[in-house]
Amino acid sequence: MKKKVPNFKAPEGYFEGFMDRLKDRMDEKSSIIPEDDGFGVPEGYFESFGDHLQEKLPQQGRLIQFKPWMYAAAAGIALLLLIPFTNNEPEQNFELAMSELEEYWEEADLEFAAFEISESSEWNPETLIVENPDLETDELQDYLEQELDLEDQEHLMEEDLILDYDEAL
Amino acid sequence: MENDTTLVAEEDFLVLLQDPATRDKAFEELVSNYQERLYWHIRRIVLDHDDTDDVLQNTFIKVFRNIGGFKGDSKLYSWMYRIATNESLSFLKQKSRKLGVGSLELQEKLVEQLESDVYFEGDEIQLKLQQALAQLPEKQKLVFNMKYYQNMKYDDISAVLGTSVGALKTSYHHAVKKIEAFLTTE
Repeated sequence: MKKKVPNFKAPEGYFEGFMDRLKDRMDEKSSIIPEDDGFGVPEGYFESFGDHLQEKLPQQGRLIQFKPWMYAAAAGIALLLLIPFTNNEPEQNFELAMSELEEYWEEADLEFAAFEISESSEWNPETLIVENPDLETDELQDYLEQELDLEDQEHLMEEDLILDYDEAL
Repeated sequence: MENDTTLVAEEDFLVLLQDPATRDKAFEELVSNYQERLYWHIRRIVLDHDDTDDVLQNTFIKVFRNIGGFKGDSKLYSWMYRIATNESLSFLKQKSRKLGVGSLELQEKLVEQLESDVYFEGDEIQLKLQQALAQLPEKQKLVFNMKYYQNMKYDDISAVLGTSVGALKTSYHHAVKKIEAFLTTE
């Protein structure tokens, strides 16, 4: 038996353009949701942001150029820490070491080149992350967590987004 | 779809960003080009202007620190958007822990604070919109804001969030329906 075709017609080209029209409808702005969400910024914020950021890049504890004298200071502190374990008369020699260190500090040429330091150290000579030295315990905890997060993120950065949320879309 | 010229231009720009001799100047240009877009992306996640400023700075500092190791497997802008998104979500997580509240409670607190925020110029309907957004799952909220308020293409959102375009469309329409229902009934 021959199948009956419904006696309806659609305009020519109707189905070819249907998907595009549907997408347009789906992308339409809602008539209920406001187009402006009401957020504002202080006047001139974007004009000054770049300069503001530049000021923070080399200082502010986020990124600090690790200067040669800091290495010298670290080396000095390391020396002082070693002394009690290497001598039978720690107090006397500690004083001696202090005076020698002070003398060395006054007279030595501490203008090391960065590559000299880098060759004798495993530290990255260019940058060291230093946060506020007066950290409270909570802040320190936050900092460590944040840095751990950052390390994780740096591994994931090329591909992944960190979302705690497993809910279905 | 990006054309070849854009891709080449981005590769060239990346070379400038990774060369110590040209890095600072190129970075300034990068900040100038992206600061506003990233600001609005972050602002719609953390809501408060000062918090946004902090997160935006952290985002660019992180970009600066890591640009040398960026291999270009993804586009530069989607990489930066991902960093901005991660920074924002980490910030909220920390805030939530500090205040000892859950994520939903934190969202509600942030919306409450908007009422006295000098940099929130919205009226009742816009405040209600934020209340509606606070109820959404984080990913739906992200997709909604990126599509509705930042006019991003699904392909670009997909590159940032790592979710298929089909899933994003579904997510967006769920979000729109929920927000509309909230605005009309509550």
